[in-house]
Amino acid sequence: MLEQPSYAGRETLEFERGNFLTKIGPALTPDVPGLFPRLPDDAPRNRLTLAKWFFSPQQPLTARTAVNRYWEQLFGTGIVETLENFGSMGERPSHLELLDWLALHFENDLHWDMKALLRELVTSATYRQSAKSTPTLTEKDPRNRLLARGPQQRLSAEMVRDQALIASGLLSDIMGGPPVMPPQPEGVWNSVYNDSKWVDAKGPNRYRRAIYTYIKRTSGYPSFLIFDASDHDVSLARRIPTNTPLQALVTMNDPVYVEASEALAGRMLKASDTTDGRLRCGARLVLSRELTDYELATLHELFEKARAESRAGVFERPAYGRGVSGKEQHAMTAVAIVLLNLDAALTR
Amino acid sequence: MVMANSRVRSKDPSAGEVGAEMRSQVRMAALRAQTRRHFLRTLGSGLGTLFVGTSLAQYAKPGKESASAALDFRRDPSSPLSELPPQFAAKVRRVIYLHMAGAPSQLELFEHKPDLKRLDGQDCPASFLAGKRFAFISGIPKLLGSQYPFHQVGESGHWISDRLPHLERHLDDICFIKSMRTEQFNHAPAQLLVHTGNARLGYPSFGSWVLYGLGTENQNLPGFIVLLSGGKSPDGGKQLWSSGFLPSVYQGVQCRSHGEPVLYLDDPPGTSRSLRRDMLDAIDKINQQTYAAFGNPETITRIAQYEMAFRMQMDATDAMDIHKEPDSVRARYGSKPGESSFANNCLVARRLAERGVRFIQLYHWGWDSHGADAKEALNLGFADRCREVDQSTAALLSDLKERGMLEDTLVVWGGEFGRTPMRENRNGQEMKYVGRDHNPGAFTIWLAGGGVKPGITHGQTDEMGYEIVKDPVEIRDLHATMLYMLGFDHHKLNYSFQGLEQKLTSVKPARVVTEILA
Amino acid sequence: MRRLSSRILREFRFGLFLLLPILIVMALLVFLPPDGNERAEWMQFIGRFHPLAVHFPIALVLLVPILELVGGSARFSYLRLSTGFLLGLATFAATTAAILGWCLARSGGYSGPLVTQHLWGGILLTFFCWLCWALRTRRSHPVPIFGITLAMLVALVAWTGYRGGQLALGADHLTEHMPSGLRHVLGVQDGFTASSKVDASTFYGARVHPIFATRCVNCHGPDKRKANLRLDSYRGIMGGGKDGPVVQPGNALGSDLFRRITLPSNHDDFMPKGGKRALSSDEVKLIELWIGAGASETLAKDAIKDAPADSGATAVREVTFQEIDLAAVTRGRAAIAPAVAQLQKRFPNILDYESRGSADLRLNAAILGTRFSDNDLANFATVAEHITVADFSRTGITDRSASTIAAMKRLRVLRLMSTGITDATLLRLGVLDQLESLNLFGTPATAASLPAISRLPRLAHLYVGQTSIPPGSPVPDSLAGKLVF
Repeated sequence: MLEQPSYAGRETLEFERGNFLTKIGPALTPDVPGLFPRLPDDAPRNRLTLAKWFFSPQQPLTARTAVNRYWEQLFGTGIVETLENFGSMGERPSHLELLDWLALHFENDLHWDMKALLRELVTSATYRQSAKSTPTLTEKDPRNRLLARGPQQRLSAEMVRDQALIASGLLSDIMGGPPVMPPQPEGVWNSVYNDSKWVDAKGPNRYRRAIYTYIKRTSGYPSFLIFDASDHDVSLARRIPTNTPLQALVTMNDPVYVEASEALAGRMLKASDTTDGRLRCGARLVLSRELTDYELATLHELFEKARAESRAGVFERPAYGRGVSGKEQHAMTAVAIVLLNLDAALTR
Repeated sequence: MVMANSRVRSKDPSAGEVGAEMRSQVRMAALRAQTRRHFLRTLGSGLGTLFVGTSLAQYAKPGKESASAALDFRRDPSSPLSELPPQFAAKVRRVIYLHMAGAPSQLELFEHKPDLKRLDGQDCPASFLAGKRFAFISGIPKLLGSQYPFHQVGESGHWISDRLPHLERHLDDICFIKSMRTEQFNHAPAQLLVHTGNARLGYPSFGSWVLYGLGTENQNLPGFIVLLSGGKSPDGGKQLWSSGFLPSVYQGVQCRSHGEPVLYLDDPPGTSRSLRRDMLDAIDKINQQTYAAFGNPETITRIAQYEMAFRMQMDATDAMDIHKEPDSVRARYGSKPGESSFANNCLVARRLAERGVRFIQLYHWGWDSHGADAKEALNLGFADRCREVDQSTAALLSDLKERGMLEDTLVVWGGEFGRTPMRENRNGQEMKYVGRDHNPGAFTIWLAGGGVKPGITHGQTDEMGYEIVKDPVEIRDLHATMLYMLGFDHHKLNYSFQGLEQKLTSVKPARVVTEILA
Repeated sequence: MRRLSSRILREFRFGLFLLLPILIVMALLVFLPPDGNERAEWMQFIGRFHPLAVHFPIALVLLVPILELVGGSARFSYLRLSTGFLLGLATFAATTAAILGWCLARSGGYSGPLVTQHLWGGILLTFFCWLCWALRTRRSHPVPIFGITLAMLVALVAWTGYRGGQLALGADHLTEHMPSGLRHVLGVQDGFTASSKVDASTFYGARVHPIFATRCVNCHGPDKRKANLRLDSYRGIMGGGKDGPVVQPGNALGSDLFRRITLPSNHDDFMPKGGKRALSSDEVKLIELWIGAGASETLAKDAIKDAPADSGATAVREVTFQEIDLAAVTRGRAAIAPAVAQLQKRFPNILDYESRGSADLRLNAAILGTRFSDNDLANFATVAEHITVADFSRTGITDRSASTIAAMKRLRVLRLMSTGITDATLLRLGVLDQLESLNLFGTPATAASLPAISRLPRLAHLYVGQTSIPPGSPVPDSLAGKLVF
């Protein structure tokens, strides 16, 4: 998309209250808000000037905003909580000097290198703190604004899907290409003005990363919406996480996750011959750590119960291991579902 | 891993219920945690303190609220839909909104215009056309009288056409507003205006506001349920029941009267309830240990949500299962299980209302009677739509009344704008079928139930039914009135976003239509 | 000499002839004054001609000074020759008018100072008219007794006529539409003067009194008391008239006042009389509601629900929102707050305050279903009197909870849908005198409970679908129209 040359530009007028039917003259020229450093007088009023203006040394906001956003990605809440609003109606920074220093550091020392910034942030002592909290600490600083403990937040909508796929080994690493249609229940997707349909993909497209999912504003992908993804109507800089029963229903019953659980169960069954071994493998895949004794005992108990209860031959996948019965498969799938639904799995 | 915290539980939580100890833990966690930015409320008033308030609210001392403070909608984070009392005592406890998507023709249903009938077929006067924007009319259209005969009914003397014979029984309970007005002449923005208070995307819907302000009675069911029929979604799409900038927990949940009522409600095939219970118990136990280790209140909330999901599976399935109603009741509604129909949805709506759902919205698509084809023709497709909704709407009102629920339920029926007294002539040609174009200048809705004065008509249009001559009611006035019936000052049900105290009635002044209040 | 004396004698006889009726009328006024009672129809009939007849002597009397004055000049001196004739005629006419006036006053139920002043003024001026006639030849007397008498006569005519106008048209008929400039100069007050000490914060003062003042007080006021009834003050209303009380507190239909204003306008007893238009339906409704609520002088202005909107106000009623005084609310809830908190902890999500500004409670146990039993309900006995809305639909409560429910004396809404509650409990609900809505849908209630329920004074809706009460069964009068099947 090239910028139009100035002679081909259209006249831009002000719309009264956004109503395109009432325009107020005179014609407007491109400019920046008066609060900020002015555009250079001799520069043409085009996008290049604007781009340079964003990164000029006198411009305080760009680096600050950028740094704040990366901070939010890692720590859960930005130094300025309102990522989208650094103005007087937004929140004040929780650590002003830190923000200033990071902004200047990012701009001057790191020369806008995002990777370098992220490396610095994740290797910092603050990030590497344990997330363990004490009652006093939680009471004093419930939202961890003062960062006396490591960050802890729920996975974003896309991460929930991607994690399930990675843990189960189903994730397809194909990059790029047109958007795909992972499974969605019938009758949910509705295109009002044309007859396009949602057709569940088969093959690797079924297991692509969440970011490749086909998005339609009037009919967003349900699992993502339920996990607070943007519905793409308005620009959303910051998702407000919620914790609802509908999310529980997604991760337990959505066919995508059921399929992932089956595949995860298969991996677990293949990994070892003993139940405990299989359970430990599952934990390593999902939680990236070892199970505690209590957790192991709980899952083991569940497995036994599930195996006793299950009606054989229900899940129609081929057995994954030598001598693995349908019942064992079924029971292990139940355990896999549990693993994917643990708070520890859904929180990072 | 060492558990330093002595709160490790030595016995398992009881199956099926969050135990009393769990509840107290949840409460303690909740009391300590103000983990939701959107539950922070501004204390004090004024622009300056607004800024201070939003950023420092978590440090605010309790008891600082002045008499003119905003209302506090904070809740225990583990139950964001828990009930809150209304601002002042109100009769209405729940709303059932029946939206006829496409804009039903008021001139064929409720507006008796004998003068228009007299002038049927004549050219439309130029004064009607000057300065107006039409969706499809061009040139000089002809006036079109009502396609159906009208008569008066009941003590109230309401006029009604012959298309809604079952609803006639209830006309004395109904309050008509014949002078509704909107600025939007196309479906999606008009529907957005009706349901979110703004013609642009991104604003919370009425049901979301109500959930935010009042919560819901039954925590085992979604508090705001949407049911669709007529074959298509309304033009405004999911935004009509979205939560906008309110926390997404308040969004409408689209349920289906056939198939899975709530998405992902059914366990995967082969999972028995007892197995599911065992799985939940395992999750609970391990999460308890996680909480013991890390002390994150979100963990406790998550435990509670999983329990609620389990209960919802049972309750939602039961609520939406119309097989449980006797044949006689189903016959009264004209409902046939297994279909997706307005009649089924009405019956489900009644069941949901009985079970404490706060806001139930039904959309029936297909009222856009332009006359471009048989489905849109006033004498064909329109008659079908009327048949589809008449019996079940009347049955719904009867059922509610019989069960004494009409006195605390507000039922609203209407579209998003009206239709013109001129016959539509697309591209300036006479069309094969008879239809009308959009008329945002005047339309009719009706209300019934608690808080509404029955048997009256508010507002009046001219003899052609084209413009309002008396008591115009803007959409925001209707919203203000409905919120008043629910017990709120519409200025006070607000939420801080983008530097404004946002409210459903948006920024223009709105008036509570006291004339229709009981 | 004999001619002179016979002339004098003739004149004397004539003078006596003129004077005698005047004296008779005076005697009538003294011994048979108007006393506010109505009498024979024929007397009322002829009395009605008084306003007609009175204009003739007025014109004549006013003509006389003009003739005298103008006749003082040489050119018109002949005019003075008619004075005697005119005065005699005027006396005769005035006497006639006075007699007719007496008939009207005596038989038409008039009383009051206005009437008294008018009739005495009238008879006095008749006498003065005769006096003028008698003194007509004394024109050239050194003391201008004729002139003085004539002047007094004219003054009396003006004054009496003014009083007569007030009687017919109202005490303020001249000042009502006086331009404000003139009003200011003359120091005349506008608005109600008589009986203005009415408390406008009461229903009577704000809504009922203005109706009477504009529509009734002209004939039933301080200046004119037809049937001896005054409607310009509360005491007057309740005191009644010559036929006894016109208002029976609590019983609009038995009140004569209400009866009369709701008669057809061609009925003899219809009020307001005199061809005036009937009271509007809103006004009638207001009076009906007021009498029905006890015809009180002190009842608060908005105490009566559903009163028609004040027709005087041009603007439509707008809502005003009261700020919630949190401190006051907390104080109001203080007594029960600990009990409520405890119950909320034990039974989450079913008990809460009715609104943010209220200390009343709403109890909704329906969501617990059959898990909620009598034992659970018993816990709420401590706050029973604060519960205004209670919903026990589909719960497991039984008649054992009857006393707990009966203790909820301030209940407005009670829902017992699909419970096992029987007539035994319903018979004990007579104490719930605030109850407006009772829902018995799907219970085993029978028609035997209806008499007890019918005694609930404020009940507006009774839902009896799917009970053992058959739809056609006879229903006590007070429940007519309130049952919903």
